[in-house]
Amino acid sequence: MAKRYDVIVIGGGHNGLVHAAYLARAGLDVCVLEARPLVGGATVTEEIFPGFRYSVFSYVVSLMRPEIIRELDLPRHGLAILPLESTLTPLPDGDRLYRDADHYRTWREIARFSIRDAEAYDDYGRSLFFMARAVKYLLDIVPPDPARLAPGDIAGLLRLGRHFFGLEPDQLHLLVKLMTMSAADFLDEWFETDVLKATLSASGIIGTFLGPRSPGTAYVLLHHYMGEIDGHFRAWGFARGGTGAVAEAIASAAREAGAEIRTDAPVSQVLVKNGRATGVALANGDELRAKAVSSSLDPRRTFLDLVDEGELPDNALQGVRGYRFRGSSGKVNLALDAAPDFSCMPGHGPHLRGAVSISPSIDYLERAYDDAKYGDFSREPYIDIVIPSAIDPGMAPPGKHVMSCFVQYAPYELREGTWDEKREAFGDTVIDTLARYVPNLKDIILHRQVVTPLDIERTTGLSQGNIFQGELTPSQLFFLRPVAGYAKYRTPVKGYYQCGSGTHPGGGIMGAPGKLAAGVVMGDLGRGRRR
Amino acid sequence: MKRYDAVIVGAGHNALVTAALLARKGRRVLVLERREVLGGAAATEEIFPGCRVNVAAQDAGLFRGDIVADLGLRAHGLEWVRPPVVATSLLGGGDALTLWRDPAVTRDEIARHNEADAARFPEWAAYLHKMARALRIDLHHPAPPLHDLTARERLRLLRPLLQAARLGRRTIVELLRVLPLPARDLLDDWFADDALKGLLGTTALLGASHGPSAMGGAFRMLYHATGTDPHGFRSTAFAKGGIGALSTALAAAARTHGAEIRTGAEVERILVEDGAAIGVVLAGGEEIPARSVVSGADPRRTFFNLVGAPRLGPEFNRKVANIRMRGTTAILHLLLDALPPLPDAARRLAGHTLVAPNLDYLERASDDAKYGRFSARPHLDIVIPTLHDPTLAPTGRHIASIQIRYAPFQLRPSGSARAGETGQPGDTGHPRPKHPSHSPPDAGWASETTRDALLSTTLATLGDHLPGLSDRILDHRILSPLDLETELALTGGDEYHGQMGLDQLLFMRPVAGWARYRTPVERLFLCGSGTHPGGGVTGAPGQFAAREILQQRM
Repeated sequence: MAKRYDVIVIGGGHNGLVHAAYLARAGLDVCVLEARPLVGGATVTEEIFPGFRYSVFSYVVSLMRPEIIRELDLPRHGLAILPLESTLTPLPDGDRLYRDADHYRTWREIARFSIRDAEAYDDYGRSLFFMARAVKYLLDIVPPDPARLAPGDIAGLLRLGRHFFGLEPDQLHLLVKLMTMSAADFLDEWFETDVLKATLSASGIIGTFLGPRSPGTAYVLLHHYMGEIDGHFRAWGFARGGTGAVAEAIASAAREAGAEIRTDAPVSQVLVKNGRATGVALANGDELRAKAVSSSLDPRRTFLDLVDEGELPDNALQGVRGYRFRGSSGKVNLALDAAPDFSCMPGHGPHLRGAVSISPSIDYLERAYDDAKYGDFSREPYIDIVIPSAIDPGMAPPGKHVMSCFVQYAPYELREGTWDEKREAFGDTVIDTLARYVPNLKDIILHRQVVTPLDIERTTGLSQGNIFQGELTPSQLFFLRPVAGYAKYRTPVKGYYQCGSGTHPGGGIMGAPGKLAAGVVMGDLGRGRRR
Repeated sequence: MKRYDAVIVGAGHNALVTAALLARKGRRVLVLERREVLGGAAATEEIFPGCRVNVAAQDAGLFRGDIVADLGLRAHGLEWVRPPVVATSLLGGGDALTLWRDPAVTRDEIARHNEADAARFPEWAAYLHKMARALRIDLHHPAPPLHDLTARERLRLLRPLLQAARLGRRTIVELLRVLPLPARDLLDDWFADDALKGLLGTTALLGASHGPSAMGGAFRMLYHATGTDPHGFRSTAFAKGGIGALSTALAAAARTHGAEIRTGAEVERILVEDGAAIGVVLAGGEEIPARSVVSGADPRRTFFNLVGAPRLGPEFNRKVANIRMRGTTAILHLLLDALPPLPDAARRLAGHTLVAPNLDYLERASDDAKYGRFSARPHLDIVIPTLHDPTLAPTGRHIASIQIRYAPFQLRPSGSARAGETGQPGDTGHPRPKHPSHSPPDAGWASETTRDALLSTTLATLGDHLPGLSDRILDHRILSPLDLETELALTGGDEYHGQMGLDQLLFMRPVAGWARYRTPVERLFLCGSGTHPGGGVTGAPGQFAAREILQQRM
């Protein structure tokens, strides 16, 4: 009889790998099955054009849980995160807003627009820091299920209550606001400068199909604040070698702990016998056996594609069918012959080693959203740019550059035409928009890769190209992620687990779902072993 | 001089509820109303000669039955009218979709548009009713404070918790899931027909400046269905004699119990001494001392205009300044010499008649407001009260009162629009005549031209959906959001005294930390729509405020 693993992990994205690493370290016999020839899922670095290396999909690292980095000893496995310290927001009139780690320079820069805002800026940062610290508690717990109320759930809810009611009243109220308001309204309470509000609100729309004035975006803003690098909140970083290096480091840690990782091994089906997962069938027909199977794929694939509908109760099916993806972002990766020259900050400078955000006003972002609402890509999109080669010269040949442009909105569902027809028009729109701020851009482009939501779906398997494996809206968070009753990493099928971004606490290169799910699987298997 | 236990600022419906409930318990109460009519935004006035018109609010379907019973309002002349039709959505070209109180008729009507949706509708009506009932537990109890839960507060929480437990945990979890959903998502999960979704989605727009794609819309749909009638749409009921009859009945009940009500008495200032309210000053300079002051005015007006920001802490002022009060509704009253020429008009137009052909139409209308313009093709909610009570106008004449959405209080100069953005194609699904430009003149609502532009836009939209109507107009009166502010004292033209968003509810309403009708000024209370549970003609804030005040020693 063939070998029987303890756990088979479907999908070698960063969460699947974290999951496998923790299980392997606990002494379990683990096998990761990845469909593509390389691990990482949406966390990959690929050399699309010779000499130019891209973080094809994701592009910055900020949410990765520090304890995972520590526990898996990722730096020893090659992970180095370089800080991304500044944000430049160019304006159409040639002006700009430039913020970096130099407190006084940032103060003076904001004060050019409003002294009141410059004064409020630190307060704002502090408040969000406290909020992020308060909410961070949630990142490390398995959500209790208020509909089940088993003893463990009641204890969890009580602990949760104690945690939140232990906050100062003002902090608790601020938290309620963050959970319910729009990013624009929330920022209106702090600032008056449009460009400052716009560029801050951009963190609230990333990965969503919402505009900055849509309620709910304040939470996404906070979600992006929960990242810590070396203890600093809201520290965005860039992994040396691109985001793929993050996946490689985790994979290396997993292998060291004894996990087996197979690439080019797409899974076609989870094998279920008497309501219990017994293994998986690969696309090539091979079958692998295991005591437990964990899927790091998104909820639609985990529930609807990999198991037979007959194995799932109605409430789970209905819940997953109503779960919303709505991919809204695309990516344009450029190979450049020289450094881009921003008209608002000409020449080389530290701004090239930071992020550049095309978000000149709240109205600009709202209009971009309006286009998408009616089924078209934004005529003037929001673009978040990093130039990895300026931070890590190994990403491009000497003197040349790679430029990564994250673009919103690019709705998965187009009202007219297909993404295959519109891909290049979308790319042109992005380049035209950028060229208004970077006059030399069109002359220095050597190659371009346009990644649409459809491409994201095709390549990585993320349904509708949603980078978070499902929208981060209150109806899909915590004990409702992905659906009520199945938010604790288990599924209706015994021995079948979920460990991707579609589970609590959600998307971004965070690793938390993978780790939390590993705890649940270990608990269940541990109990089994004792029996 | 007589010393009052409570002076109540304003005679809106909530203030009258508070007045009646306090007077019934033996408190000496004086109500001061700046206008000559009672009811605030729930008033019926002679706007056209010989006609009584509901000046702003039309529908009292949310008004709480226990208040009606408690105060014996029927004995004071209150009589509800519940026409067999709930709502009719005008689809252009003479087509319409109507929801009726009789579920079987509704089913047949929807079946003409979509058989599957018709089959699902009874289930939807039951679902909406069940969820609204679950939400009602929240709304029918004062918002619990989040901190310092005393033994007494814990005891008060027991009842709602038991009620919630009886509903079942699954219902509660489903409520938590559904509340933040956009109306569009909720409706997409249930129905396929655009016209039906457009019609049902309109209630999500009440009390918000957002369109149907914005989160929190499902909450507003449930909120407006928390009345008793399970017909799958907002709770709706009209008062015979106009909505003012409800206010008049409330005033009569208050007077029966000894409350005094003075009209034409504008409160200019609330007198504060040593951090406590000691009375009010009227516009003429008259001082009226009182043991406590209760304000039915909206929170911003109460604190900034009547008390004065310097008397309050900077932190509190910041919170009050940040209350989102964003009126987006204008009102057009028409005097007609006959009903619009629609087949079966007298029956079909007796409820809410809507221009809301689909969700995208509503979305585009709200987009305009986002950029500070009134909608090029507005969403209209038409009520013809003369169909409920013909005595409101001379024989044969009709009054149509139309809520126009969106007409944002804050207009922005037209120059800020992106080229090519005005006049986007709409989604009414039928050819439409040319519309006048809707770019507001830069002068804003104070300018006659702006109101004229809104009027012609509204008439053009009406003409599309009720052809022939314009020939029947004898007279008109338009109220911009600015008029609502100046005439009805609604700050920012917000008839909900603060937007009904998830961040401005429960213990966050009117501001965090002050959700129990008390204020930083001792013996100054709030009782208006700006407090929990919120706006609409419900009477609930007034009722809860009275309970809270009665616990104080006078």
